[in-house]
Amino acid sequence: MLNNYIVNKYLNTRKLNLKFIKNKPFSYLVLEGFFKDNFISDVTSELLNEKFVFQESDLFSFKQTNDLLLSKNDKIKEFYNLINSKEFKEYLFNITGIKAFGKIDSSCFIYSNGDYLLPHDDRLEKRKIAYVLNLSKNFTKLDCGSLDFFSANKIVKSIYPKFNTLTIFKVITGKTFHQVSEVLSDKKRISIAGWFNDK
Amino acid sequence: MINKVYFNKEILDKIKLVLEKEGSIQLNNFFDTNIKFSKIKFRKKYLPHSYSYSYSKFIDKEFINYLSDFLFIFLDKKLRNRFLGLFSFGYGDYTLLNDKFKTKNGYKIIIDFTNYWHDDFGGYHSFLRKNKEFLRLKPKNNSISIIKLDKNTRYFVKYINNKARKNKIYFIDLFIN
Repeated sequence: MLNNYIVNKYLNTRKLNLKFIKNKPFSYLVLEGFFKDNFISDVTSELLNEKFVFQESDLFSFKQTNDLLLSKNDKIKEFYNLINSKEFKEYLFNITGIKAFGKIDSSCFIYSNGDYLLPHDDRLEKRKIAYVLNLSKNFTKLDCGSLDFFSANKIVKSIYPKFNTLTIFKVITGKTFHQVSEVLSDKKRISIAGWFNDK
Repeated sequence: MINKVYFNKEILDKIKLVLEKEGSIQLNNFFDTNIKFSKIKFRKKYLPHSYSYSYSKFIDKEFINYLSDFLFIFLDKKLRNRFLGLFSFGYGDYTLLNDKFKTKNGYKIIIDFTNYWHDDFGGYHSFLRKNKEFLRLKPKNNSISIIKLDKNTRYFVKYINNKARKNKIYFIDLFIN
């Protein structure tokens, strides 16, 4: 089933596993052009018709949908069912070696000019693998909205938004500090993000 | 140094009533002279998952004495500080809520010296109980805010975004009980 959605070069998990483990400051992987083009373009179009609510706290400022589990849109359901499938979770297990066969969290986010997510470590026991699927086009470094990884209180890795790029990383309380840097232009940073949880 | 209005007994009594009833009060035009911050060197304090700001000790005996007199008359509390903490927050600065940090019963006092500010910049002081914001203080030049705290109060300074450009907020922050 996965080969209907994921581009061929990512179906061999052995190399991906080696890369995931080797990456620093903690295990992560950036998979550019991950889903087949037509599929992810359709999902993106449909997502923008969902209802977004502005959320803010000490830690963040952005617009967010409900969990995609609740969407009534067929294309979004198809996407949700794909990443929630046993097959996809086994695929992730083969890449990461992390058992995350429980429920998933999945929402769509829009970061506008001045929006951000400050450094944090996702500290919730059940969260095992965090993921971000970027859906914005034409972002440059100057627009920011990068996903930054910290080590010893410094940013050591920045991943800039690129359409159809899936980033996954291991969640370890007190270690995997990361942030989404502030968006500095009038472009919209659109992403689907959440966690694969333990059972 | 401190506006004489705030030493007027009738006015003080009214202000005390408001503080008692509302749990906080902001007094504007607090100083009747310009407070000078010459030779102040700020040091950057940065712990990504907790805070980012600049800090300096503010040692001005005259200022502290005036403030001490006011707080003694107003709150019946003695200020024992030999210096005060002066904070500066600019673009990219913030503080985050921290479960490990417990507040005590007492009063938080914020004396604001911010020159120019706009709501869009962020930088407001947010006070919460049971995860609900009960007070939001926006930067306001020449004001003193007095907020009654208890052990369930939590507090943060909202992230300052790129719209603030080079503008900064400046305030003295102290706790008295």
